[in-house]
This record gives sequence, C-alpha cells and structure tokens, in this order.
Amino acid sequence: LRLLNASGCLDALAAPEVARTLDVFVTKTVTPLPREGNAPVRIAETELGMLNAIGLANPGIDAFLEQHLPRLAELGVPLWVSVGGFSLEDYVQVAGRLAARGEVEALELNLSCPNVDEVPENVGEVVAAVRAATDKPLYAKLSAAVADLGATARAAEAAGADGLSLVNTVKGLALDERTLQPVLARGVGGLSGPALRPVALAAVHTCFRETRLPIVGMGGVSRGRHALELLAAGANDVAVGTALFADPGAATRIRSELEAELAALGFASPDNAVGVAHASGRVDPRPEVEAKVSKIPAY
Amino acid sequence: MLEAVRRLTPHAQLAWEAPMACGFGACYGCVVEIDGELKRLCLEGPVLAAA
Repeated sequence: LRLLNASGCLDALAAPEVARTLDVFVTKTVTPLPREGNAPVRIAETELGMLNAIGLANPGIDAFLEQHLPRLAELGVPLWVSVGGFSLEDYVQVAGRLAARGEVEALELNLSCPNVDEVPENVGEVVAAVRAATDKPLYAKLSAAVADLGATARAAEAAGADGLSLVNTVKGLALDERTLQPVLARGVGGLSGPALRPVALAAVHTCFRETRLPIVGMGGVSRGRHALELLAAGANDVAVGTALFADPGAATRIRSELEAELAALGFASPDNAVGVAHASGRVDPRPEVEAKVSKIPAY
Repeated sequence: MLEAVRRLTPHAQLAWEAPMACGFGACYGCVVEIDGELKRLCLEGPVLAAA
C-alpha cells in the first residue's frame, strides 16, 4: 500500500514537510502552455464536501521542467506527474517531454477534469497515443460520471495503461444563499470530500472486476477506515485529497488508523485486504480477472 | 467596495477576502485579480497594493 496525495490538493514546494508524509507525491496537472485558470470565485463549501473550479492553473511544461521538477526531485519522495491537455497532441507533448526525466516515476493522465470546456472524448485514444510516447508507467485518472465506467476502464487497459486512478471529482453546483446565483464564477465545479466517497468505492469496485489494472483509490478519504474500505473494494493504493486542506497531518494519521483497522480485523498486511469485498459474487468472465478474485481469501 | 477604494486611492493597501481551501498555496482557490494578474491571497495577500 502506498499513500499518495490526490493531484492538485498539495503543493510539495509550498509544504515539503507534508509531501514527505506521503509515499508518492502527485503534481498538479501540467499542460503544454502556462494557464492562469478560471476567474475567481473558484472554491465553495457544501454540506458534505467542497466544490472547486480552478481550471488547471499551472506553469506549463517548460517552466515545470526548468523550475519545478529539479526542486521536487530534491524532496526525496517518488514523484508522479499529472498530465493534462485539451487535445490528444497536448497529452503526447507533455508526456514526451517527461519521458526521459529520471526524476519522474510515473505519469497520471488527467482524462477527467470537470473544470475545462474541452475535454478528451476518447480515453483509449489518448492512452494509446501517450503509450507510444513514453515508457513510464501510465495511470489513467477517470471520472465516475460516465455511462459505463467499466467500458472506459477496459478501453484504458486495452490501450496500454498500467493502472487506474479512481476517481476524479464529479460536477456539482452551489448557489448563493441570498442571490440564488452560482457561487463559483464558472457556475459548476468539481465536488470532492465526504460526498464523493461512496462514488469512489463503487468505481473502484467496478473497475476491480472489469480490469486487471492496479488501482489508486481516492475520493473523500479522511480516516483509516475509509482507506480500508477502498482496499476492500479493490484499490492497491490510496490517495488523500480534500482532507489535506483541513489537516496537513492527514496522511500520517490515516496510515496509523489504517494499521489499527487492519490489525483489529486480523489482516497481516494491507495487501491481504485488497479486494475482500469481492470474496463472493460474479466477476468479469475473463480468466485472469477470475483468477485475481479467486485468490482472495473468504473473509 | 474595494474596487471603488482602488479607483479613489490607487496607493492604498487593501485587505482582500476569498474562500480559501488549503491556506498554504497548494490549491489556487483563493486568487483575486489585481491588474489582470491572479494573486493567491494565502501567500501573496491578504493585504495587497491597490494597483
């Protein structure tokens, strides 16, 4: 089990001591050109989470490589770079520029940002094109807000993805109490936090059954129990996002809470808990997926 | 109101407010636009020169 941050929820250069509590640091999404992002207001609170519409603000790949990457490498934390764009060529360009950089352990393809107008339509095409541009491990970050997540995940797998990051935010709207106008300048934004947790669990559960890919589970994790449930649904690793805003010590706390949860239930290691929610029931008929599930001890 | 103050006294220093998620520069949520540039209030503010 590795604990990561969800992309965009931590700036390792602004808070290196928080980044060092993680097993992997994931950058905010990098695009070919610098982006200021959306007009403010960009953040809104809701009853069970928060909305954001930052809009992929980032320094662009040139400044990232020159100014950010060398400093990120000094942290001593394995580094994943989140790759984004508005066309297939954008993804290929950013991934290609990172391909030869030894500081970068893996790439996460942000295929599901809710806060930009032009989003890639075909997950499989983007993954396949990036696959041809780099040998780095590729994690496809998907949204649960699609008609058939299993099909999307299988497309990513067939195109050569090495793993899945589940899930990105889903669109939400908050209205001003007095004016009944959207709080966010953009209108809708990405919903994260506690409200997203059951959505994430369902997505991990589905993709564990429909692909062989390792899964980084994320969405509303703020306690050890939440991490345990994502493992049970089929995640191998867990990322913490919104919880880091309120509690920079969240990763350390979640790790120790998870150890206690695992011990209380008699799991010798986190890996033993992966997929236990599937100990019975139908799975993808492909033999390799069936084999994966059949190895899970009844619990 | 801050816009009006800015027009009247361009040399003022203004204390801004914005919803803030992380408070340490990570999330880019609390930006305000100053002379066409977006500034993070948590790191660069909350008190900024009016212009």
